[in-house]
Amino acid sequence: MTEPPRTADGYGSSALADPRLSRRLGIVLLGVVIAVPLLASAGLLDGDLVDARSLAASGRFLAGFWPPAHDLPFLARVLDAAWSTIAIATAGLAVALLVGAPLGALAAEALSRRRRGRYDDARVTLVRLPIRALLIVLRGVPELVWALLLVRLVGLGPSAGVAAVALTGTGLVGKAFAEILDATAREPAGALLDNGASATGALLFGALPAGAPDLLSYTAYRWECAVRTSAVLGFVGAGGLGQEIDLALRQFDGSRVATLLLALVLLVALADRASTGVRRTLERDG
Amino acid sequence: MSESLPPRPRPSIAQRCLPIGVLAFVAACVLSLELSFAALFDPGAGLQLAAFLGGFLPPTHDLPFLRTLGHATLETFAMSLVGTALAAAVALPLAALLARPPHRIAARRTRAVPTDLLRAAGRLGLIALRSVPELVWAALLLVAVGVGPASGTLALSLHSSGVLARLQAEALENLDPAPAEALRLNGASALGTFLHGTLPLAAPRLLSWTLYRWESNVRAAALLGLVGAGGLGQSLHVSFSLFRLHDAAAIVLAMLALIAGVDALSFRLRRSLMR
Amino acid sequence: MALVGPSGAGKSTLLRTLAAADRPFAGTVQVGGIDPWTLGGTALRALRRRAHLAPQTPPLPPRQRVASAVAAGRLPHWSLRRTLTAVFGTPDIALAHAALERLELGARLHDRVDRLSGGERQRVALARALVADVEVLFIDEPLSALDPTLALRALGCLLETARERAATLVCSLHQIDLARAHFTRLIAIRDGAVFHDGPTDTFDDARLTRLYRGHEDELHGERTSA
Repeated sequence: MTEPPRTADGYGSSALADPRLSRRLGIVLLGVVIAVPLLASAGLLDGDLVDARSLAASGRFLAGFWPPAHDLPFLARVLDAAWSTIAIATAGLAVALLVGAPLGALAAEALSRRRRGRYDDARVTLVRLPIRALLIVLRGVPELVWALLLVRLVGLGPSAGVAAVALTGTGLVGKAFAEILDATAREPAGALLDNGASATGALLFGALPAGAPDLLSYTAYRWECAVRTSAVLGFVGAGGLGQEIDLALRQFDGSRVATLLLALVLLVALADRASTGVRRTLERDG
Repeated sequence: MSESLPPRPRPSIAQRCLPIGVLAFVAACVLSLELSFAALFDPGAGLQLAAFLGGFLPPTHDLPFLRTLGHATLETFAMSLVGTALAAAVALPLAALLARPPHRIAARRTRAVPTDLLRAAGRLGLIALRSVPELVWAALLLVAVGVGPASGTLALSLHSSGVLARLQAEALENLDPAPAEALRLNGASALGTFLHGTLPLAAPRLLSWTLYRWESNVRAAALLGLVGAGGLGQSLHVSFSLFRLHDAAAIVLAMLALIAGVDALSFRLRRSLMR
Repeated sequence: MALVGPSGAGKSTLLRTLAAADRPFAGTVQVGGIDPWTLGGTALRALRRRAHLAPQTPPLPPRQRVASAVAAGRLPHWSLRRTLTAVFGTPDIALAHAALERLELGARLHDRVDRLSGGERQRVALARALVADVEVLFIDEPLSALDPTLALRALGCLLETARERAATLVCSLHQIDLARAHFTRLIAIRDGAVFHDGPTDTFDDARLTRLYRGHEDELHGERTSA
């Protein structure tokens, strides 16, 4: 191996030039060039972003955080709102499971009878494809948008929240169930179908036993997500903690906001614990 | 050959109570809420609903509106990108500091108690950042920075820092310690070890998590505007309030297109990382 | 009848095609004089109910109890009501237990499938075949995970059951000795084509050597054991 030519600083400059260096420099330069308009678009380059007045206002607002509001009537309201949030999430998810699970089972390929013979039955595809399309649409619309719409239809309050969670949830549950069944249930269900069992029989004795651990684990995870989502639906009037936070913010009541934020953090942590606990118990003995 | 069947194992108390408990809980939830879907089942409601839904089509597509729509889309895109980038930049040092040894920077501190306490406090802070949804952060920041995309960008950064720091800390903890150890044993500084030993190894996974987060954030960014944080969400809120349903339809389509675009881009980038 | 041949010859595919489980890519198949793939869903199901196909890898959900896994052999004949109430208590559990006892697994009736060894799982799949009320049993490699003594006993159970029911037993085996000793008709396949089809005693050693040409290691592995 030849030695690189030595110059005054001890290293050959051109012989050791990194060929990728120019490319990397180019990327960095490009990044800098597009960063400026991006930052401007994102609103961070506004001169009056943090002026004296808004800083003073925020200061006063933050100062109001301590002490957090702890008068009993308000705490009762917080508790009620927290329960509402959980109730909205649970009720919404229950509906999503009732509708989404059967849809997922229909959309899964693992239970499709004729396909077992490598023959694509037009009838089955006619049923499966529209269901998949429906699930994609339901999944794609965020709960908040549904809530916004539903508040105008069913009025303010938890009903809109439950319906919103149920709608998006159906799409999410349906897709996940179909995927889980396709991943775990093909052989057990397929063997039963090959022997002439009905689709219901193959479902109960093949698909569900095979997929149950993953299905239950996913349900626990979905519930936790639903609790988080329900907490914010109140901002568009769908009940729960979100509605209370919105109210307190409009009133610039820092102490109430502080209490509500604490309640929110605790609620989310609780849901997280419960969900993880359920999933761990399932892993252990199913 | 035995004539009788072996005894059936009795399910534990927990296993028996769980299904009933869950059903009771769900029932309690449903009953405790004052649900009223009566409005939907009202005889006139079907027609009203059809008329309402029909009002969405066709989506507005005249040029001036489309230009505003493009601007709002760009705003939402920028919010998500800058928010995620900021979060990643902040999360990395946090993750490096909070990850358990041998990957935290201060690898040779012998006074264990203060650092452990600090670490616990740091983790609690991250949990707080994570538990507050982006929307709530945005609503809070509106007070400080006013209406507009800045509150949305910052809200996304705050929330995502918490999420990313935790994911990145886990990724760092699961890393092969050998390269970093080698450097450290040869006398490299803590920072040097991190930059040249740990980071090159961890970079693909860290970037992958960041891209994943970007996908989530673009969805969040689209919605943050509903409380006034700029972008497509704000336009949607305005058009809904003014009952301009055609505009709303166009905005929702733009949202879906943006989300699909970012998903595709993120997927491509993540795939090239894995190679 | 026994189905023999070297690995990759197409034994499993043939079994599955005969059982109307897999549709042939080319050509037609006739089962009982009818091409099953021209039948509608209900008729096809009725046809499949007359046979039981046991695949090479036991298709048992890992967390299912052995009792349910075996009783599933009778599932095709249950009414809708029975299928639904089966969630609360496995029907035909006495039958399942009897079949397991014959295969020396009676004590494992209430265990979970994933707590069993490979050989035990294979026997559970065989027990499922034993309880099935069918005219034909298609069993793919029933003895691959069993030691020679158990294999002999299990094969005995299968043959006995087939005789009791006046059902046809079609087994694919790579234990040539057992095939020649216990089956009346032998079909040999090689490279996807039928090599020999006739009474077992017409299948002599010369034919056996030709059948396994190029796969001698499989043949000698069997010869040296037991």
